[in-house]
Amino acid sequence: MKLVTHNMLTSKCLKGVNTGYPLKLVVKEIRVQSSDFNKEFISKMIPRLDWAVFVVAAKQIGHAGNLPDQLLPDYENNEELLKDVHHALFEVDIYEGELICPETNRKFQISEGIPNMLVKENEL
Amino acid sequence: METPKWNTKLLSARNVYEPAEDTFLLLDALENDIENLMKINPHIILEIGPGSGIIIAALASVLKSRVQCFAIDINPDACIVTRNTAELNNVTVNNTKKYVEVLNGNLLKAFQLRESIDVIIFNPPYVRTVNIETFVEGISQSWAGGENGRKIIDDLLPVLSKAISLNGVFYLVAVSYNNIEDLFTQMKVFGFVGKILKSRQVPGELLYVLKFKKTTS
Repeated sequence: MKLVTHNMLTSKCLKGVNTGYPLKLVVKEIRVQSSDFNKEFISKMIPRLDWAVFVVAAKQIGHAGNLPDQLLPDYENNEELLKDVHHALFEVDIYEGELICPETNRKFQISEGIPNMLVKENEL
Repeated sequence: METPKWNTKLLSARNVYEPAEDTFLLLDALENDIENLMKINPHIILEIGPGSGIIIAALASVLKSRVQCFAIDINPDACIVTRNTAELNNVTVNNTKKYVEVLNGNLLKAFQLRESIDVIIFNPPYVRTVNIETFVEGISQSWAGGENGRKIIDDLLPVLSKAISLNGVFYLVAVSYNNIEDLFTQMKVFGFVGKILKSRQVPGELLYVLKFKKTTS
């Protein structure tokens, strides 16, 4: 599971949970695999991210590079920044770990890189 | 688009259906529509219920590093198979690989809805069944659609507009008894205009691929 996915996931569907975002991350095994850097694609992805959530998660897993806490206005032309974003977002796979609901502490397992977000009928 | 490869042995071992007429109709429809798809310049593509994974694998191999592809399936075995299919077909560029992000989950329930997904593709469980089968875990989840085969489709439709980006599109496989006209009417209520992209008569059923876009776009 890449951080791009973590950035989009919520436990809001659980009964009694208001936002369920961001999910807490527990990392047990990380695998890094390089992938094509596409400058235009990364610049277009940035506005779709919750930047603060992304940076906190990237720091937690130790792959934040020089990512700033606040997004700089001219980011489209900052190739170094875009490369750091690419790396943290797409090249680091959380292979084993957990996602945890911030409100109920309900755990979602990440196994072999695949998060299990299924909830039972009685949890809805 | 080339027809993707898949691992028949793994599908069989994991009890996941081989790609069938509905899968190939969807593949053909997407292939015919690929230029229109490129025009909206998609960055995030999500397939719901990928099963064998050949659809999302085909798109990932065509669109390469321009998009991030996601696939979510309720069946954990289909998740394993989808990832394997994506790996079998993924294109190596400059010695680096492009992966499909695979998740185990139910429709869009685990996603933050922020109108950020450009393309959603859904080949749903559209077969008419008595309702109970829908909730039984196992392979029936890949086809059991409740009365009129609409149960799962109708669960998804109301949240689509909050998930799909302004210029985004939604591809849906359906069968005649799902009531195509009513699907268009429902989708209009939820802010989408639709058309039939492709249809094909196969033994026992008339299959459709429908394409929807936001009325505001």
